[in-house]
Amino acid sequence: MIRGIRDCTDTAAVVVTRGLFAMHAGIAYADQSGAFHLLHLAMHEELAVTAPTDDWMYAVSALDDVDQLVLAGLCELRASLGRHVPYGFRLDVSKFAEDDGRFVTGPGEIGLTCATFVIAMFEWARVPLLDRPTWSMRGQERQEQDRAAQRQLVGWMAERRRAPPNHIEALRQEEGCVRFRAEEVAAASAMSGRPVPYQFAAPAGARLLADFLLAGI
Amino acid sequence: MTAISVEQYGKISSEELGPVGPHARTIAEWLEDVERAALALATRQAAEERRRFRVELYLLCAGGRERLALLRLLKRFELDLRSGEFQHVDALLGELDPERLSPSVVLGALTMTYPASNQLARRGEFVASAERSLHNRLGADRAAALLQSRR
Repeated sequence: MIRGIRDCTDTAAVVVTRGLFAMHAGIAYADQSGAFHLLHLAMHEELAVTAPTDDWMYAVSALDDVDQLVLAGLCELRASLGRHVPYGFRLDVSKFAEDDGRFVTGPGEIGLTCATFVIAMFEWARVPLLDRPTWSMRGQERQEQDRAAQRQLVGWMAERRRAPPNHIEALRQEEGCVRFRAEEVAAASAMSGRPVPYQFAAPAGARLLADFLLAGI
Repeated sequence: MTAISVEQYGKISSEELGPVGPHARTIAEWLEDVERAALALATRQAAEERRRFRVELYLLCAGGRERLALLRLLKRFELDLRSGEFQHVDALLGELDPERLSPSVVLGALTMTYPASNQLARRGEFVASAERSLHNRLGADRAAALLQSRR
């Protein structure tokens, strides 16, 4: 399901690497000259376009080649529109304004995570990855894990002043909301039957994470 | 005769101005003509610019540079839609021939314009011709899957 980024033959694919406290996700896309770039939300207002490095792996895309081309085109367009994408946990109706690529937060939402950035890009391309409402069925243990991960990240951002104080406070208010994991997003991109519901994406994400760790990256 | 400024002309009614000669027209009529001529010129220029853009896309696709064609199209629609220039997008959609575009460019056009469907009267025609074109080139099942969420 995942391979080293150097072996990527897809035009657009979800990529993962080690993040601060969990896995980090983005999209690898080939530009018009065939050169690969990684587009990922690194932090608050830090949409990054970087060259592929060996610490990234990609999920072999199950998307049709033509869908991949459209997604790659949108990545290239999105990369040209600036880096300012705010960080936030809750994703209900926030999206890239589908007609022009600006990020528009939904009511009560403040931004995207690395994983929901990928989700939003796929939804902008009209190839939704996850059946998002099904994440509400995650169990108590999972919810506690997710809340702890969110709290840990907010604590780190506050300590390092990686966002203004009012944004940090808004992030704290979102702790405990649904968390889509980077490995679930990556796994879903390699699966047919999208949008993938939680009951399939969660175990597939766990397998992908295990494969990543086994690869020793 | 007292000279008056262009701004002042606009404040003078036809009755006040009256005919200026035996075949004279009122200033208001003259201004209407100027406006019509300017609009016709702008329309012709816009049509010519769209024609050049279409030809560029067709040539890029025919030359195997579909990625560049796709990016040009996405950037153009992004700019027009952000500016609220729905009529420009609609006119271009109505003129594009999907047969002369690579499938990714056809789908890129459908993807970008999907949310503004209600404001693009000619999008329906483009969807229909895109469907026929992709059906012929990619097969019925694949075309249907690609178009499913973009009609």
